[in-house]
Amino acid sequence: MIQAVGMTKQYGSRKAIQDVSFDIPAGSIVGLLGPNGAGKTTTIRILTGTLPPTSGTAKIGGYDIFEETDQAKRQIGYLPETPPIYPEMTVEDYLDFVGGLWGIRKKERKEKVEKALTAVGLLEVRRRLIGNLSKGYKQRVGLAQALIHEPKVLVLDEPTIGLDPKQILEIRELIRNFAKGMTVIFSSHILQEVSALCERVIIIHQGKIVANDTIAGLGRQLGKANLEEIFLSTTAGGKE
Amino acid sequence: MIPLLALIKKDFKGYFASPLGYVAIALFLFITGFAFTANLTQVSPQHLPEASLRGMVYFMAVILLFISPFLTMRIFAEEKKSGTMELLKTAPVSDAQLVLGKYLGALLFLFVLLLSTIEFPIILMQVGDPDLGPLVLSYLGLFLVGASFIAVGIFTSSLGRSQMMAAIIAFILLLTLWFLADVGGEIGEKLSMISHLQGYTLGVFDLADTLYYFFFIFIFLFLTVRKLESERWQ
Ligand SMILES: Nc1ncnc2c1ncn2[C@@H]1O[C@H](COP(=O)(O)OP(=O)(O)OP(=O)(O)O)[C@@H](O)[C@H]1O
Ligand SMILES: [Mg+2]
Repeated sequence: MIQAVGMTKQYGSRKAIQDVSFDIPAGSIVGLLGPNGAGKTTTIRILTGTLPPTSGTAKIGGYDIFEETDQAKRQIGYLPETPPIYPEMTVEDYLDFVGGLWGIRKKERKEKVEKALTAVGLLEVRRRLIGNLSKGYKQRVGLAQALIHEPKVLVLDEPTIGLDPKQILEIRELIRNFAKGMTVIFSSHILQEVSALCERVIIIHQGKIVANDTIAGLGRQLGKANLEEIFLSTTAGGKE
Repeated sequence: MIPLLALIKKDFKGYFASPLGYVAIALFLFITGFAFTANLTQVSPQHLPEASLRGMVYFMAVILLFISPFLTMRIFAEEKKSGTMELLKTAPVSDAQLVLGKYLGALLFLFVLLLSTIEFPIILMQVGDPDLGPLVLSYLGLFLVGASFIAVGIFTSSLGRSQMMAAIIAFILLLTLWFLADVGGEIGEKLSMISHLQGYTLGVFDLADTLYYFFFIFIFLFLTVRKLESERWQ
């Protein structure tokens, strides 16, 4: 469903990611793990078609993101690292705007906004200005935005970063629910989060994929007991 | 079409979500109203008040020139800075649609801004008997000039993340293009924005002038689209 094909991104002479390939089957939820600066955001941006790779490509639901851009994009709901919100808009107006961007007709838009609001638990704050919401609620607005066009694939870049423990659990619960009907990839460097949400992980280190398997499978291969040990052993070494 | 409308609505409403839109209208009305009153009431043998806006149009255009960079500076710079550009890029919206939607949103505000001075011609019609042709054409000319200012501003706003830089570059460009007539010789006169306004103020409709503004607007919108496209592929 989500396919990375030899993706490389070069900034000047520095390679942010190098020959990244993986294939995430439909219906699964996968954590993209890596230390700071490993290349998680770069990978995700290329997958969502918001950043062109130096070489390689991505395919979403079989559609090439740079050749069949529109079809590929329609499969994806994307929550960037910083939620792309307009503080001066109300939650409802914002979602209506995003629905419009996706070309949803006014009549259906109302329904879809309602659905997205319900899905992320924003019904009570629908008429509030986004700028006045807590960080956790802003993140929910970001999630609702990603869901509005009912995508098959959900791509989340560090969805719980900067939230308090209660909000983290709430967002995690939401993601767990979405994963029931969608293919989800999310980046994180919180290991408990990844082990709590998914069986499969892709670990990226200094722009290269160093592991791509189930947590259990990796544990067996590397002789490690848990994700933390797997993470530390695969991302050890190299320049810091 | 739906994405275009969504963009127009969002950007137009954005002017009223902060004091920006209100301040712009108040300022524009205050300054031009002042000039309008002076024009009508300061009577001397050299200056007899006449029922027309002729003396006002250039003045209003210059005020627009100073206001418009503030209206356009945030259009793209802010989206880039706050990360919402990523939202606009994720949706299946082309760069041309993006630029056009945002441009039309700003034009709608320009329309409201000019509409706020509608009392000038109304007063003229009550105290005198103005020629309607020049009045209507004056407004058309002002709208085209303002639309050109906004096209320049939207382009400079696409250049980076800084609103301040967008406004400064817009000022420099606009002032240069405005005063080209005085310094650029014959070619400067042809290219300058000011020289194409005269016909409108006199009530003479010249297609060449209108085409000039259309072409001018097209060039800057085209440059903006190219700038956004280049970002997608770099
Ligand atoms: N626009 C850019 N220009 C130059 N280098 C960049 C740019 N964007 C990212 N990089 C570099 O590419 C590398 C990968 O960055 P990326 O943002 O993908 O990492 P990340 O895994 O998301 O990190 P984090 O956990 O901090 O979010 C980093 O070394 C970063 O400095
Ligand atoms: Mg990142």
